[in-house]
Amino acid sequence: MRGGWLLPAMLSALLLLACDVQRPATAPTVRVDEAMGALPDPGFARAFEPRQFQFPQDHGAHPDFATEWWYLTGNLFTDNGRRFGYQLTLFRVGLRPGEAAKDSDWRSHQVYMGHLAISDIAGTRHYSAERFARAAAGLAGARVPPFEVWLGPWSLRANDELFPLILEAQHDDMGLSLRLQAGDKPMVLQGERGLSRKSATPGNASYYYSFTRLPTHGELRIGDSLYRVQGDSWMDREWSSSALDEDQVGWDWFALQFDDGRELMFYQLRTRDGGVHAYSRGSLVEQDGSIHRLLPGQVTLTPLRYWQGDDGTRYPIDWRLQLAEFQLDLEVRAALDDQLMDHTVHYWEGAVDVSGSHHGRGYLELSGYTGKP
Amino acid sequence: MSMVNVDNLTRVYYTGSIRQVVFDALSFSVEKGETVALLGASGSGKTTLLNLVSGIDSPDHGRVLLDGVDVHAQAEPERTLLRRRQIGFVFQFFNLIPTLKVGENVALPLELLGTDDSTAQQRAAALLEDVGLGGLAMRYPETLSGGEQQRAAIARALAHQPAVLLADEPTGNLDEDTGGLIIELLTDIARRQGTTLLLVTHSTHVARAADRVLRLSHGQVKSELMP
Amino acid sequence: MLLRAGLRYMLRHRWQGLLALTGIALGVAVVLAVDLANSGARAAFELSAQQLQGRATHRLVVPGATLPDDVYVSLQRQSGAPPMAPVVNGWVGVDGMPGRYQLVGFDLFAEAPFRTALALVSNRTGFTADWLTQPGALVLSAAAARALSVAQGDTLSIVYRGRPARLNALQIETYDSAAADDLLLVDIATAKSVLGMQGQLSYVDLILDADDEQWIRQRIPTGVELQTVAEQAKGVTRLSAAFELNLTAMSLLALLVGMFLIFNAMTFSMVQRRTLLGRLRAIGVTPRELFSLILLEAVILAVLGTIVGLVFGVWLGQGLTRLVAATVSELYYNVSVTALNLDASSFLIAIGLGVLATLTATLIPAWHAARTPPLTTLSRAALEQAARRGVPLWALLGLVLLAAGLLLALVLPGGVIMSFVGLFSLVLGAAMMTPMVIRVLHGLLARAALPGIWRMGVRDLNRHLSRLGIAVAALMVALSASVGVGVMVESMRGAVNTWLSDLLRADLYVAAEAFDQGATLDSALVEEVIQLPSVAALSRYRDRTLPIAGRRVLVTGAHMATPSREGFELLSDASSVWQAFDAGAVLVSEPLAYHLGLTPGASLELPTPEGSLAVQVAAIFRDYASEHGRIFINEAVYRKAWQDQQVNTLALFARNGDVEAMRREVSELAAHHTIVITPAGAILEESMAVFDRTFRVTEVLRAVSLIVAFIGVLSALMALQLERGKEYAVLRALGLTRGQIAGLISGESLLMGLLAACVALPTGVLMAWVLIESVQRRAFGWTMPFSVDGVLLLQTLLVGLLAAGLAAIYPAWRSAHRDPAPQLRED
Repeated sequence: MRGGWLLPAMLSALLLLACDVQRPATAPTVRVDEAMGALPDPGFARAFEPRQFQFPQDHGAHPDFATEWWYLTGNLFTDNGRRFGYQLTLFRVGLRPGEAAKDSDWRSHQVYMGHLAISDIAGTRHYSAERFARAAAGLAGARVPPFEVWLGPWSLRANDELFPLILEAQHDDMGLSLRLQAGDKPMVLQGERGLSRKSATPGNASYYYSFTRLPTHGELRIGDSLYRVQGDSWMDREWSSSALDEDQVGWDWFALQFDDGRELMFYQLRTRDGGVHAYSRGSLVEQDGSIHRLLPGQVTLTPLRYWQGDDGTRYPIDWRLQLAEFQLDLEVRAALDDQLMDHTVHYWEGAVDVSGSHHGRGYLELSGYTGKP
Repeated sequence: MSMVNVDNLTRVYYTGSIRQVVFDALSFSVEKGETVALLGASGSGKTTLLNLVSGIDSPDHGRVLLDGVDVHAQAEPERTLLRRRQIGFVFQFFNLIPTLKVGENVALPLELLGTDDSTAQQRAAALLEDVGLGGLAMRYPETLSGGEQQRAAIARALAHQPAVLLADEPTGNLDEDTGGLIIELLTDIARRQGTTLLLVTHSTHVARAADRVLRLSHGQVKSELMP
Repeated sequence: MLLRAGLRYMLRHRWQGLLALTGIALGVAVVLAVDLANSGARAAFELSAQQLQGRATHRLVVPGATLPDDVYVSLQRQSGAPPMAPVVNGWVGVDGMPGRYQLVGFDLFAEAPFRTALALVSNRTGFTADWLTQPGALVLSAAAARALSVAQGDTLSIVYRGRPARLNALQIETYDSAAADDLLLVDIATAKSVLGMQGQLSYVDLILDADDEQWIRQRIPTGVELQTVAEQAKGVTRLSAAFELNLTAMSLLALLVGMFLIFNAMTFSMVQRRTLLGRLRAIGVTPRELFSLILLEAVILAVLGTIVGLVFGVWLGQGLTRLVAATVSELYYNVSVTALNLDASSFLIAIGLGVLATLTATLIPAWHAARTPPLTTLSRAALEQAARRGVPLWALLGLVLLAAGLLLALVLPGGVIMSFVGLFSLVLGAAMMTPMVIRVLHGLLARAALPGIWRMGVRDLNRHLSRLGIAVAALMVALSASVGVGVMVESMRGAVNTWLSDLLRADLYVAAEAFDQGATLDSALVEEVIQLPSVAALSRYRDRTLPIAGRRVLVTGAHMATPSREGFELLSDASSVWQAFDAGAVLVSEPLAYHLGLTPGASLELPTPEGSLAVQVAAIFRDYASEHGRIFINEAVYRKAWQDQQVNTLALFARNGDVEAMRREVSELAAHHTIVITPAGAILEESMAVFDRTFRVTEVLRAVSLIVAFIGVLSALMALQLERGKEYAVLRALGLTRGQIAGLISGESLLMGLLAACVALPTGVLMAWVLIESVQRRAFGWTMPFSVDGVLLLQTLLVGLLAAGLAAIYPAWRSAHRDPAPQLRED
């Protein structure tokens, strides 16, 4: 799942100098539901049925589809237990289907957007950054083999296999230099053999697979301080040409790693009237990698606590998650209240703690709560 | 025939909405060669009367005949020329042109009439001699005393031998003794040259020098014989 | 109570108050207007430069060439890279429009830290996608769209180096950015395609601190230079210095004229008030009280006059700014000064002038009025006498100032600023000597046998010196500046003409059609021309702009035929110069030599892609083409050092003088090549036309200061006429006709004009001398013969008389038609 749905609409109303205080007051704002209402250009390919994945090629880009992302999150610790959360997402956006005009070596139909964030839990601070580049002249792009996705100095790269995966992302006041290993969990094909339907409309679906527990170590930088860290990451890969349905306004997405070796992914699509959309889905991954598909009726989500952003938006950052069938009764609590991604797209994405019947950590994404995208 | 004939003259001033009648149907005449004093208090309209006679000011009704010519029936340029030829002016404040030397001031009316330079200068010198200012021709007016300035003004007024000499309080700015001398000079020269003199004054003392006194009061004149 | 007396006096004598106010307001207005126009033109240039520069601190360039993409791409992929923004830009022509427009291609994803002005904000769904994917997508400011008559969705046909291209107006910015008015904004991909810059960038902007600078320096390849924005600005963003100098001189002139106007007005107002002041003294007002009263009034007048002047100045400035902008657009590139550049310093100068000049002008008469015993205060004559006594003193002071000015500008060492100080001092000195000159000339005229009225007129001028002297001085300043600038421009024009005629020795010149955009000739064509039987000899030129010591120097690789060489006017020993040139020594233009202190034999480093090339100076040559400087280098040396075989221009000499045959043959070649063939005469003509356009603004500014001086004379005459009403009445009583009164006033005024012109002519010639020998030399490093055109002097004389004559019309008419009766009645 994850925030990627927003991209076509978001880029179409791109406010380039989002950080520039001198810009005119007429900055555009787009509501998630409005923006997502528009279907991508019909010239893009759509996901109608499960596909035969080809690796390593499918780890690379699929420019026939409107949007695509490489989405990494994780919880990392120093040797003496200082905790950090991190997020690096590289989004690919197809501005137009088909080949770009040949007039210039800088012409491309593909644009990359990157979001980088580090949550310093002990320091109670959340750092985040955004960049863009066109996929031309080597400014940004994806290729395989050997695997590489890059956007300026931010990159994910590997050799013939996807793992070990090298993650490099440096920004002014923070940076990541990590090595992600395969671990012992297999790849999870989400939905129906990797086809994840988002509504009843045919083609409103994505191809979606995850790596739910990737042992990770490396260096993390806050300002001038370098930390040696290790922990577990989670990687999502998804591409589609979908749009939100008429009655969908946003989602709450959980990616939890339990201490007992299991992982839970669940996304709850919210409807305009405040209910849960029938196409909400999830999966529970056992220690041995076997998967249980989850439907909305099986999971009960109850907000426990809200955090209010500067613009007055209230985000439900603590939850009770009940999955009776598997004897799960969990409290999922934000490790840090303010983990708001305040960029071209506005959403809350942050590290969480799991307690209750089981213990663990994870990442939570909350979208569609604000009037802004 | 009279030299100056004032006939049924009316002049009204408006100060804002206030209407002030200076003269109402005023009539009198002055004979050729006669010296007449117009006696009146301040504000009785003496200066206005002189301005009307000389054509500087215009009446609301009535006419002024100067040697038989209706002054106000003339067009402006002719009226100016008439003044230039026929009239000499002596003012209370002397009114010499400060930027001309005394001699030049006196010669000015002659030059206006086209008299050539040397003739005009000679005549000016003679006139200055006449009024007792011989040798002061090359001085500027401001270096002269009040009495001397008025003498120069008299010389200037007579330079072109006008038919009528109009004198407006000629002693008003002078002390009594000097004033007396000036009046004496004025009437003396006028009589000698046969010039008609219309002398405006508020002083009965000055008026005594005239052949005839007209008292101006409430817009009317009353003839008065010399006491 | 005292203040009330003063104010009531002002109210009663509305005319006099009004005249004083007009004088102050005019002085303030003209200074403000000229200054606004100048700063407007400068700001228009700087805005364009700043817009493109944004918040960048540094720039990556390859001097004289383009920057490979790879340099940028690899830098921006490295961790720790500072903010960078690639730019591709070039000058293009727009079909059916005069002038050139800057096409700027940028990567909007890299712009965020740099250029607010280029922020493209659009609510329209799909804007970004269109912008990035549509070749030729264009964004324009509303002002530029109006100027080019382009609406959203329209196609704009442009030409770059002879190649046509089409842009499509994707978006017209509606918000008022004042930016981008002369810019055609496109995506960098479009710019690369239109400007033929695949794989190349014009430059990369950077925002660097000291650490970042180190970081960058360690990573850039040889040939790539990291320049600070300041270094860049010195060469690129400068308005043509000649043009700017012109404007500065005009500001200075306006300041002088303005000062005299205010002095004139205030002195007048004081002189006329003497009766009231005398009466106040007579009834026992102390000198101190009187002094403060006068000063207080002056302050009130100064403030009111300054306010009115500011308003009027802004209005006048708008018109002037538009005019200056039009000239700038025609000569350099399109700037549209839509809004007035309300420069704070312009206002401060104008306000300062208004208040200070008013107070200074009041101070002396106020001191006099307060000091003198009551009775003397009453006398005008005494006052005039005091003024007259001051005349020789003023003249002496003026003489000292004049001499000091000449000394500063011509003898003592110093920069352009000192030259201007000298110029200012010279004019001020001459102005202060004016009353003395009037007196002397008056003495001569008074001796002539004139009829009474005329004698009176001549003498009046002398006697009213305290009032008329300053008005004459104001007119004199305006006239002399007019002569000074005029003679300078004429001298320059003559020098440029001679120089160009000498230089353009060839019969025909051949260049690529879009030569003004840097297009070069086909190498095949060059070969073909060489083979033509009608061509006896030819010269080849290749131009390249290089940064040398912070100046943008035009370096020309030249292969020159003998007659071309003879066209150079060498300013040093000419023997063996050409042998040295052939051996690799260079010819340096006079301005460059002046600024770098180069003499024949000196050595100079030229930047090449392979590092710097040391060359010797063979000779210095006369050149007015560029104040930045110009260097001629042997073609062979050039080609080797810059690895560049291109040719910009060919100069052809016909065999046996048969120009027609050669023209025919070259024209046949033109069928297959887009070239322009120009005879030398046409180039000369075109060059002189450009020259004339450059100085057209000067003409207008000269006219403005003359008009202001004219108004100064008018108000002086008006005031005098009011004061002398009684005198005119007496004259009327004595039998002066209206025509004679009018003639008297006109005659006096004409005399003023004549006297002003008499002083102005020598002063102006002196000014021109200083402008040429000192200002031009110090600013541009060029020298030129000084030539005074008699027609210009005669013109100035006539203009002075005309101004004075025109100024007299109304006062003369008014005095002649005023009813003398009321004035005769009162004292």
